Amino acid sequence: MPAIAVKKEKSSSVAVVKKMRDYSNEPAFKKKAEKAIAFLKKHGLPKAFTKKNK
Amino acid sequence: MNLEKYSVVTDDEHLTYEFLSQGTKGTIKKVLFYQEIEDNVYNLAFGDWDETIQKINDKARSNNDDRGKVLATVASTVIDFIKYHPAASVLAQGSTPGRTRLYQIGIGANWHEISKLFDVYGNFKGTWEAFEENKNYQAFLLKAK
Repeated sequence: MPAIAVKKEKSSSVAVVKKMRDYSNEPAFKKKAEKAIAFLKKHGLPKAFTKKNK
Repeated sequence: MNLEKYSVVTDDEHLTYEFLSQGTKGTIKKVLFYQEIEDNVYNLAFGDWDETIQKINDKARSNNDDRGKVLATVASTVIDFIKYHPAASVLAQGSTPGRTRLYQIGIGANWHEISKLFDVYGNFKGTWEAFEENKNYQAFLLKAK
């Protein structure tokens, strides 16, 4: 067995970048937002979540 | 979560995340965008960046043979997002039933760790209930414990 074991990288790194593309106007994402808003309008939030959000 | 994941980049607001899926079909840029749809309620939008048409494709089936790693990476963005938006609830709903099922698999596969960090609810036939493994939900909602 080697004296120093090589540790396999398993954790992810989340790095902040200054220049990130703006995806807010992507048609697919806008559609997803509309669908999500409609879903919540129909089904609401779980009671546990509405209490915590206040 | 102690699973293999991709490295991720985010903006300084921690709302947009990008990473590169690398597998048998090559390199595919994955994008996650947390959209505020109500006060402190964010929708998780997820798709592939299509270089050819310069648009997001949220229905692509990339089949890059790295599903577990992609799901673990998505989970890591949720953890990072909640770290910077601790009062937020996150709604996750796939663009297709298959994608929603993938979220189900991802949450189930990592349930031991996820359940320590988050309260998770699933929407089953129109009703929100505490998440149970092996149940097919229409959508998921989670927030930090």
